[in-house]
Amino acid sequence: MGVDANLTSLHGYDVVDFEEGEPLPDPSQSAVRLALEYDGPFDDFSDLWPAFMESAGVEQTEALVIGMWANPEDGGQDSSEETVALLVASADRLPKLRALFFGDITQEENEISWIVQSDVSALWGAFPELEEFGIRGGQNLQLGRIKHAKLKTLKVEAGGLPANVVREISAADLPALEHLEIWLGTVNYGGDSQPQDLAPILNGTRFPKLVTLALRNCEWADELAAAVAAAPILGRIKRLDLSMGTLTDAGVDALVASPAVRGLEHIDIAHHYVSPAGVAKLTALGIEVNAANRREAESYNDEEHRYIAVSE
Amino acid sequence: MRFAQEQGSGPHAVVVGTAGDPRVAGYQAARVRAGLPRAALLDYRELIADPDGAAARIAAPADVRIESPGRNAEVLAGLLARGIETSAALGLHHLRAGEIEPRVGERGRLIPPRQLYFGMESVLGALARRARACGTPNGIRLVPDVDAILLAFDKSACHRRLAASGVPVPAALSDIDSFDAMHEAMRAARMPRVFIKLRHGSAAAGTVALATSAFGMQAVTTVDMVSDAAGVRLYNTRALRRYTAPADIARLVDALAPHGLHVEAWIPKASVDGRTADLRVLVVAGEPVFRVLRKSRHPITNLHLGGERGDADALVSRMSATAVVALESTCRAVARAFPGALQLGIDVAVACGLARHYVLEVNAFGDLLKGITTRDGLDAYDVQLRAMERAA
Repeated sequence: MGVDANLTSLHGYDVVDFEEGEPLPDPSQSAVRLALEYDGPFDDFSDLWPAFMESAGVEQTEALVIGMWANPEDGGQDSSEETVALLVASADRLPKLRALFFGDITQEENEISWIVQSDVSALWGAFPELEEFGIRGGQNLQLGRIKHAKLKTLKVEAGGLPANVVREISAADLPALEHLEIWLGTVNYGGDSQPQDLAPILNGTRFPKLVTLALRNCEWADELAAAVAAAPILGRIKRLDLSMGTLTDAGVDALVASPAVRGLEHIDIAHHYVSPAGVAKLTALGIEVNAANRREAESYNDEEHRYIAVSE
Repeated sequence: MRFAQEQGSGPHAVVVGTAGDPRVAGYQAARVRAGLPRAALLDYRELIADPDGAAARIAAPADVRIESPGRNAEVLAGLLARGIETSAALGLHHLRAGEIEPRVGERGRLIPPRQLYFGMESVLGALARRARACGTPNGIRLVPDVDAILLAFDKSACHRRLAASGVPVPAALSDIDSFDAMHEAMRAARMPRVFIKLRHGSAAAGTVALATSAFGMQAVTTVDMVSDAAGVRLYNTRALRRYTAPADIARLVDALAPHGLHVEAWIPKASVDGRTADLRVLVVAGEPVFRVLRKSRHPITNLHLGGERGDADALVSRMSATAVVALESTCRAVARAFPGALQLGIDVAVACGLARHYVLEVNAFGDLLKGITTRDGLDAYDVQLRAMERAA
């Protein structure tokens, strides 16, 4: 399965597609989405970007969504390197940018595992006012040394997120971070991280203002749940999101055995393999639980298979 | 019996359909609501048994509504039998007389759609001849006419007609008869993502959404492939299958190819409520009447494959005024390309970006929209009866 929908909102802004020759939407209400389209007016992102940058009022932009940067006619397989460079080179003309999503690409446009990212680390210094940054696609992704004084929300979405990227996030210097979301993915698509790659996050030494920890789309969700249950971070956050993964009763048992889990306000396990009895253990904690989309393991050749929500 | 009515003047009403089919029932119910006598039913089984004989029993003047034959096994088998002659004459893959009944009786097994098309062409041809013989005025009017039905049922011919009429359609690859030929044509045309359809197929049978890239291939399909020593057998499945091994995908396409393929670019569809979405627009007498949204977790949005109906406004309200006007104008242009059709169900993809749209399919029998009514409470059949009245 893949990502089904383009973003309709980002950081409270409605997402509006850029149309050349049309006035930009109200920057206090809307995020502009820039994407190459099938049969669209631009064949190259390097032509689309200047068209946006020449629009009246572009310097007022507060929120920006970057979709397909690669030409769909080439299979969308060009890396994001050139597009990152375009954004960075224009950064002084986007001084108010508070929210950026980089890679709003659905399975109709390209498979998540076929999105080719690049080293995006120059974005951290280029946009000092960013409060939210999201990115999709793990292939070739490098976040580099993440250091940002104002970033409150970081989302990294992948069908398989390489361990080195997870370690880059774990090492991030983000004193204002409140919401951290990582899609760990499957090893089949390069998601080779392990619990120890998250250790600096879980041991609570990072992200002093963290409220929401979302470790989603994880193929080793039970192990992850056990690691989170035993981790100091659980006592500091209000919302835990282990959705889109392969969580079973074993993971739930580890969670409910932790006294700290009762301090949460909300736990999300949507898309899970937990029995109704297991879900009942969570709801008995008296906190808000989202346990939508219960899945059944599939059996072939006497082996049980459980799938994460987004992989290919 | 003769298909004529005792009372009243003017043309009498005949419906060609299959007894027990919901389309016939829906149409008859609308006639009753309109205070009209029920139309005489000319059952496909009679038409198949003796096409010209059955057609000859329609007395002029008559308005003859032609409905889909539906899914009745006996009717399907009869149409396939009527499709043997043309298939054989053209040297095309088909089922022989003795193979038809077991195939139709096998649950889920793919029925050769081109043979079915030739069968339709054969039996409906008798109606067309009868109508021509009766001449005008006060003759026999077929609604839709046979040309419109056959055009809609041949996706490649329909695609050509629409493109020639200036209707936006996805770019197509022509004359694809194997996976290798298709793969080569995809490269040459810079078309890495395609929808592979059976040229004469319906209800998404035999459809494959194929994405290729330097990183591999992904096919999502309504086809379940069963391979054994006897070869590859194809079944329709409601639980969409995914194939990622190029060898499997090649085997699938090569097994579909003898049925006749229509291959066109996969338009990245816009999304609504977290789902991939497209529109079914019903036009009656040239004007859009209903717009129904179809939402799905899969690229193939048909409702029987897990797609859900939704409010078209959820998509249309996000489009610019220019884009909405263009969409309506496209639907009218499609209707003009089918002058012999009273109604058409037009499947339209609004592309990501919401600026452009493309006509994916035209359904001659696209008006079975249960529970969908206008603001005045009229269903698709009511609207068509009123349009007929106005035209009379």
